[in-house]
Amino acid sequence: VALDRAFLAEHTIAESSEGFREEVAFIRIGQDRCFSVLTRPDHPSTLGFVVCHSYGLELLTLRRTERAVSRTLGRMGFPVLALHRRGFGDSTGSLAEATLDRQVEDVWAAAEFLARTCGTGHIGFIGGRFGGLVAVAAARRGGVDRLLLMAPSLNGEAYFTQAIREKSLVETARMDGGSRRSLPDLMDDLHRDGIIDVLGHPIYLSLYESTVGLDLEHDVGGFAGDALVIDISKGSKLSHHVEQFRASVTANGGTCRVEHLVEPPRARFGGAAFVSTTADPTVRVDVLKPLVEQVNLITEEWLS
Amino acid sequence: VVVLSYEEFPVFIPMDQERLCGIVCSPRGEARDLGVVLLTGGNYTRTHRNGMWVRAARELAVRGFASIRLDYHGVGESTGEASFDLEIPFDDDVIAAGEFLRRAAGVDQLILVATCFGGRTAMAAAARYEAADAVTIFPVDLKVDGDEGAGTPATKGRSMRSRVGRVIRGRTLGRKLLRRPTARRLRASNAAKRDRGARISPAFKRQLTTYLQRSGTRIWMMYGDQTESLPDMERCLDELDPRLTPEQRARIHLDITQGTEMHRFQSLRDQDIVVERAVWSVEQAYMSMLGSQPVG
Repeated sequence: VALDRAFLAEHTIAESSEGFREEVAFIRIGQDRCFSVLTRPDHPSTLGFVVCHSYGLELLTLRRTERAVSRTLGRMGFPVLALHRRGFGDSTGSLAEATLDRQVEDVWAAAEFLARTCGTGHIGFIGGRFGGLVAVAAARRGGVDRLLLMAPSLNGEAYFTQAIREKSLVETARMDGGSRRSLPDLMDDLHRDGIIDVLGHPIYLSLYESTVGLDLEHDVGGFAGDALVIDISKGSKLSHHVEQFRASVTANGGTCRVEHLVEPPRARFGGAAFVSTTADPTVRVDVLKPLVEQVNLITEEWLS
Repeated sequence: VVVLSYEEFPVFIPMDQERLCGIVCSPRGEARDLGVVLLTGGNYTRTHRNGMWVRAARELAVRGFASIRLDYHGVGESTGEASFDLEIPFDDDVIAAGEFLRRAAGVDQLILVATCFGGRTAMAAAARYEAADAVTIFPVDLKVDGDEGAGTPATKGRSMRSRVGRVIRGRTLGRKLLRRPTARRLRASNAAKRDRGARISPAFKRQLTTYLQRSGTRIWMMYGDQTESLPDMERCLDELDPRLTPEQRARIHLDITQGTEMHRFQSLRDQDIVVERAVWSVEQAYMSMLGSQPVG
């Protein structure tokens, strides 16, 4: 049996009636091929955006939010490129080699691709949770006009410590009373083995060590552009990490708008979107939808 | 440039007004005449947890099988809106992806490989889709309420239990008590009592029966000895239509792997097992189709 390459090539575009189209492709970065979705407006602006995805399960669960934002931007005329970095998702490459520096390289490779393909002369980065951390880390190099951060992790150590703690908690909650390891034990495992299995997602020591010293609240490097930070939590209080980040951006000569959104009942930004909300556990609806709509509205207002 | 033994093509698959995003993965050399449709549960995009289906697709390609992994409508990169009800599977999505793969890779026969909600969807599709010659499903929820509909005693009881549970879990002492072995045993025993009132999805049984009545079809059910829902599948097989012939029943292969639950995919080891069993079942299906080797 043989491949019909022409047929495959005919199906890489999804047209929309909203002033943009979406194109899927693999982009070559180094020796690897990275999956990408380009939201290409009919009349593109010179400002383009790169979406920086998160880590672990959030690579999957945050995609719907990222995509909704990409489409909003597409409607407004801004080209957007979402890329699976090397070793992630559908891309080739090794996750074990995906240090923070290499992930930042991939983000910049995506920005260059966008400039070549859509003629963008200005760039913005978008990211939620760990994706926010990658976006800011990339923006620290300078030359970035916009940053859109959704519930960003601004401290590398805090992000991974929380992920590893969650593993410990899930093990405790299991009915079978499986072996619960404490946080220090798990950290020892990571340092000894170079890898730790966090609920079916590996965290490599190489990534942990390249991220652990990162304190983006206090040090935004060369970023002096315009940032929008959407803080998302169950409570109504703004995170002090975000407040500090705003102060750092402002001190650098940039601007930073901060918004706060409360997670709807049963929804957790970064958690599963489809959740049972009725007495019937076999029916699941998208509980993140109202939140995504609010994110879109704020984004639209910010860029108008 | 590294030359890989497979090629991948990202695509949008037309399905009425929607476009489903998928990745076709194909061997670089000659492919075998059996295509694989890889399906996930509702909360996962096409890669599955930690890229399980990416690994499976590439390993399948190395063995000569083309595959497609896809985002359901309303999920990942696909267009549309989604909500999930186990009793309303997305069989149209599967058939659209299957037809696309047949056209793109030139294969005639298909095997559907699925987890969770994907298992319900695969079964519903296989029952009405002639090209689906084989199915592999990993643990799938099969239970539906004994008393159906809102406001029935069963649903009211569940709602009350859920409220009380939330109150207890919201307190430190409550959480401590819930961890005690006695409390765990009591909860397991109560859950078992409640389950006795539940039914196995009649739709699933009907679809499985219809599928097996078609000539030459076969199905692999991949479970772990620790899978919580294994007794439900065993009960489902016991309750199948008695009109099924022994030959038709013999085409069901319940495969139980020791030392795993194969449902939540919350460990790298479990994921390795799922990928390995998925690839193994495709090879079994292919050999069985060729008639070169007995299956089982």
